[in-house]
Amino acid sequence: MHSYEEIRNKDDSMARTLASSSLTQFFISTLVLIIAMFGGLINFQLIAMPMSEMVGGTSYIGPMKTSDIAALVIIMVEIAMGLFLMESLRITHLFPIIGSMDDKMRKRMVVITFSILAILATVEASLAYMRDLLAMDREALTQSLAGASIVEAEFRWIPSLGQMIMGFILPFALAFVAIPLESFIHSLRTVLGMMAMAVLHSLAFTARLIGGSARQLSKMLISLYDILIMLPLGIERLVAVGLKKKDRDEPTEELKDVYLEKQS
Amino acid sequence: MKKLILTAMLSLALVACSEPKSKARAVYLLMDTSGTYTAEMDKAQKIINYLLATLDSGDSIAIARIDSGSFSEKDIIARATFDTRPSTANQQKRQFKEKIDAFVTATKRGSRNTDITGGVMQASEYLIETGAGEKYVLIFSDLEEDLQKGHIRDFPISLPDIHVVALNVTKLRSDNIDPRDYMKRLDLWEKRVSQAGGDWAVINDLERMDTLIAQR
Repeated sequence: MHSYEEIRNKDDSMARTLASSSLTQFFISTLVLIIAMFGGLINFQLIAMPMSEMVGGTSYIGPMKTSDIAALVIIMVEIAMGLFLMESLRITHLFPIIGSMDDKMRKRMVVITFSILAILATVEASLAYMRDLLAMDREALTQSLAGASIVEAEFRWIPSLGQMIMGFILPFALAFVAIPLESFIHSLRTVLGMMAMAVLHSLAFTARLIGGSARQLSKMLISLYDILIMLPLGIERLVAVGLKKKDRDEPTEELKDVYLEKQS
Repeated sequence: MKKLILTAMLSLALVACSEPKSKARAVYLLMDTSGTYTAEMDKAQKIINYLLATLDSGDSIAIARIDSGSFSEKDIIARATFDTRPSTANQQKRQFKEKIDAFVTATKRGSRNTDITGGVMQASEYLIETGAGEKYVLIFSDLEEDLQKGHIRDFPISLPDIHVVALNVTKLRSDNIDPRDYMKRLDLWEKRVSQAGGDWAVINDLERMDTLIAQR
């Protein structure tokens, strides 16, 4: 209750505690998402090559091979199915419409998403096996082209089985990405706010720094101008004083005339 | 304003629909089968094996011999455009290799004359037909043309955007007496290829073949 009151009162220490909690969530979820990304990358490597057997290895969409895009699409669909499965199980709450469904509908959705995920995992396992076969065939061809005799490796079935298991497990593992993704999205709001604040603070600091520097620089320029202008002003004053003195000492033309008249 | 938006959208659609440049590669290897060069067949086989290992699905390859009159489809020993499926492409490569091995085993006597120009023209025709983005003519020969009486080849040829690479250009006995003959021969071919719109390279050290075709 005390914490709630502090939140209501917009207490600074409580805001800091909440921000730090969001930051922790943000970093943990980012870390798990990065791990999931690597998992996705391995998954992609497992199915990209055999995909060219299905969609052809020569067509391109933009700079990317169609087979690579097809492999990516499969992985994306798996992630999407994982999201829906987690949502239907009410583990995550990213889509309120799924959460608010009645239990019967939700259970149906669980069964459907899980079935699609299982089918996709089976497809991936078979693609992983095909990848192994293709790699073996390619290896055999390269050896025959190089003139070497083809050697049958012992226990070759172990990596084949390993690849198949990986192909089956990874889609289910990727399904759990929904949990860190939710934390990431929730904490991202706070982190983005903090980042915007930091950017604004740094902008304000920079603006203040530029303003202060400009003010001091203009003062310096005025002083510099004073130093420079002092010399010509001094010379001007000296010249003016000299001229005045000269005017005082030398009689004018009229005075000269009067003086000459008096003498004559 | 509406017209402007419509024009912009139409031009965007047209740009998106424009046919992109093919990423396929096509290679045409001309093998000199005249006199002394029959002894170099094993080297040519190595080159072909390298090509088969390098080329991928969608790429094309043709191997032809240079004989007395090479401007003919009959001189093409084997040709293939590899299937889009890697497994079928591997199968095609095996069959291709078998054809070449059979040809090398069967070739005992060399041809009397050497019509390189005719072979290059045939190669250009084939490569243009493939529509590949990267086109290569590899000439495995000493580049000494020796035409049959009556054959005319002293006219400009056309090799648009084709990379012509001379491989294993051996020095003849006469080249040892006057090496300028060898230089002249290379210069003459370089000039002909450049005038035809192609680019020219020579690779004598077959260990450096990895620079031959751009890897994908």
